[in-house]
Amino acid sequence: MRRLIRVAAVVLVAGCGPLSQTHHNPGNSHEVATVPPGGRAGEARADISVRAGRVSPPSGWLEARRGQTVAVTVTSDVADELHVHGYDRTAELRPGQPVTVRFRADLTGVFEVETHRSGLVLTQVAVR
Amino acid sequence: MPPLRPSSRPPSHRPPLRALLRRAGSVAALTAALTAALTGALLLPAGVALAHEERPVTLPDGSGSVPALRTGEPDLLVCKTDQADFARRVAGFPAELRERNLTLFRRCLKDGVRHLQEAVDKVDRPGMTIAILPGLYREEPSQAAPAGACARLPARWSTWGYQILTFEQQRQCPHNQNLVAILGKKDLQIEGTGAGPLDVIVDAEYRKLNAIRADRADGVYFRNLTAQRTTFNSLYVLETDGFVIDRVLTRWNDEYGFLTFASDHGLYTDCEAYGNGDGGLYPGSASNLNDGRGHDVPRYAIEIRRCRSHDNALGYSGTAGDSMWVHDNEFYDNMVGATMDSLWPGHPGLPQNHARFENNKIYDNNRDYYRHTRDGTCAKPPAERGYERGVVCSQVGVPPGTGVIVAGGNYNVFRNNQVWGHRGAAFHLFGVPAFIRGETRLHRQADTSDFNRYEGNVLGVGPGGERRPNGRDVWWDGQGTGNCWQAGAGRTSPAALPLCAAKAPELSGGSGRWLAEPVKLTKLYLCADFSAQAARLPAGCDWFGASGLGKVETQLALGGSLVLGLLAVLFWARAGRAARRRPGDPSPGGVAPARQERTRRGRRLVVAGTVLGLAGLALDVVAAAVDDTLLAGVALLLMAGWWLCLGAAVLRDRRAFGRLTVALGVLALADAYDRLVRLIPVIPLGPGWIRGLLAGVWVLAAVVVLAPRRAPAAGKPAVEAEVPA
Repeated sequence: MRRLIRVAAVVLVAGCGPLSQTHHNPGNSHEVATVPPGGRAGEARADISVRAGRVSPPSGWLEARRGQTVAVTVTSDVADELHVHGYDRTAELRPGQPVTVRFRADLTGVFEVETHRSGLVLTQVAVR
Repeated sequence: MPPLRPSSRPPSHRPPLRALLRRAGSVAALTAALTAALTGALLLPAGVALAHEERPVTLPDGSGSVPALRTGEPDLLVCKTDQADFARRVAGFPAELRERNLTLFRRCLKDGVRHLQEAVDKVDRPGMTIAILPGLYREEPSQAAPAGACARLPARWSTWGYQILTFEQQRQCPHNQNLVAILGKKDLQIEGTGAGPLDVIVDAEYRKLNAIRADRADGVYFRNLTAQRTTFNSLYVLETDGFVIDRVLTRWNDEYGFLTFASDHGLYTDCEAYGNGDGGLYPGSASNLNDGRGHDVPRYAIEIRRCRSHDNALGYSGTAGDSMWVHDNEFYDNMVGATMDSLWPGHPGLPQNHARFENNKIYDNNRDYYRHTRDGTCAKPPAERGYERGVVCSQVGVPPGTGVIVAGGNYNVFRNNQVWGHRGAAFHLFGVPAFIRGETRLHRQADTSDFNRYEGNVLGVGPGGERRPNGRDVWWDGQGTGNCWQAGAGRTSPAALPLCAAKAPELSGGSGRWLAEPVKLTKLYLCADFSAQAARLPAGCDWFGASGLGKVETQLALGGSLVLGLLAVLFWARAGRAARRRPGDPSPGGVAPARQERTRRGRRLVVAGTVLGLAGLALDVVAAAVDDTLLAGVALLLMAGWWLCLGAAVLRDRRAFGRLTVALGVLALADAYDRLVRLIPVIPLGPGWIRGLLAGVWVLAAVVVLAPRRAPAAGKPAVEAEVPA
């Protein structure tokens, strides 16, 4: 009897309990793409900040077409050196000062943009 | 692209209870709760979906083992053919590694293949190794949308917009849903040869549900590569006994970075996941080895160590995450560091049990990605949402700013973790009745949130020893048996918690409640109305931004306080009128002086009680608004004072009502004791339930007592003249 009462109480009251609809109804669309994710018209841009050794947004992916201009702006809380692999572009980062590296994407491939001293990968530039 | 069917989502059931709860005061709401609960239960969907829908699966028999890394020469090589690009990619490698890669590249140009799937298809015996050289692997031959017979497979469409395929259908059409499909291969090792995971990237470009699927692939070993950009999971391991995920990065998926399901003998090591709409790591339905055991277990099904999971909705998600050993990882910058639950039907191994979290760093999980849901970003197709720029579309409704959530789990142990910097709770525990996961047997209904232990964790201290407190260290709904926490936790709700003794499962101050605290239960119900698809973020739930008076807890407290406050004032006024009839005055009722003196004493009690009561009611609202457990306890004490004073004042002339009022005061005292000092043992429901229900009855009785009456007939004493209140 005690068990029955307990079960009945749980069932009754849990009717208003934590019934998340999150997965009972599907979430956002999972519609698949039929073409490669496109880059943006004009400059391919990324704005990145580095604070306390953490990259924000977390290490990303910047799509660019061959011949397109790529601009990567980085603001770091510590002094460091910015380096674009493959294109071998470098820039000094001073604490709190945004620095933009801009280059024409003439080489195809995937190129890492990183900080040399802290060894962080800030983004990868994918040039097609 | 598989033809997507529009999801046939049923119209949202919105029980009338919820609207009621928002408007009504706590007393009225609590009274209504039980009545309306039946309605709520009846409105449950008859059949519900999985957290992810998959074919019926069988847990492995456990005869396998965790595979070991093979370091010999690879059997198969995968590379691209652009020599200049390859030379650039390896230019920065250490000399020895560069030479090794250049050697492998020359060999690969001669007898290797250009796509990972090609190599997998060449695997013809157990124990082969595929080396995949630095490059971007888009797997062009696998990208095409299903055509011919593959576009017409006889399989059910899930409401998620994809078909539930059998293993045989996956074999027949491996690229309907997977960019790379590893089906039935044994002891296969796939290893990137770069300096790090980012040197080898398998990119699904949001064209497939899964970037890499290892299905019934016992002994599979993944090492040193990245998989990214899918509409579900980057790396999916299913029905596999023995797997290793070693130095693998997964990112930018609608749901999970890593999903391992219905598997055993697994190891995640040195992995990383970010940018996922659900769990970065999701070891779901691992083999339920320890079902029926206590805290003493022989082994765990899956070990996760030295991984980093960040910038996801959830760092770790463990629906039926059974028999997990999770240690020395970092979970940070997510909305919630880790969750484990028993919420979703159809997962083998429910209720969730036996996850052991040790020596993890769980910190700063304060992201709030719901803004992307609000502004319509998440309504776009996945490829256009901007995951690569930091957008995360949360598929789950959770309280951002939380370290670890256990939503209906048993025998989980959290030991020696460092948990700091959360604006919400470090540890969040609540019960989940079994019927929610589709369990219909009566005796199982209250089988979750039992015997979880939180001990030896360092709370609110940053890596350098600096103070980085959590908003609160514990939030517990009060349900369950045998749960305990370490001594010395900071702010907690409730303030009094069972304390773990040295040896499991011993503890002190324990309780065994069937149900959660009523206000917490109401809040959980409201918050659970989140829908990613409908972009519905329940107003009133502080998980989604409600604060102060906008929170459901505050509204409940305010409603209750207004009702009770009005009654308090009316009792005070009534007592005042009675006392103004002085002894010796020719009172209309001809009341004797002794009785008038008693009335005056009663009035003083009522006045004193009313002052306490009004202060308590006001404090109750403030406590709810600022989410302060101690203030709420003090408010209860003050309200108890009111009821006790009032009850004493009316006891002589309104005996039944007076006893009811005193009983309410005593229950309020018990409730305050339960919250502030020590959980009252034995009782199956918290005092809040009984107090709330009794308060509803008391309000009705008070209205009757206070109701105006007809003027007394000449010569008869007025009833109200005899009652100080």
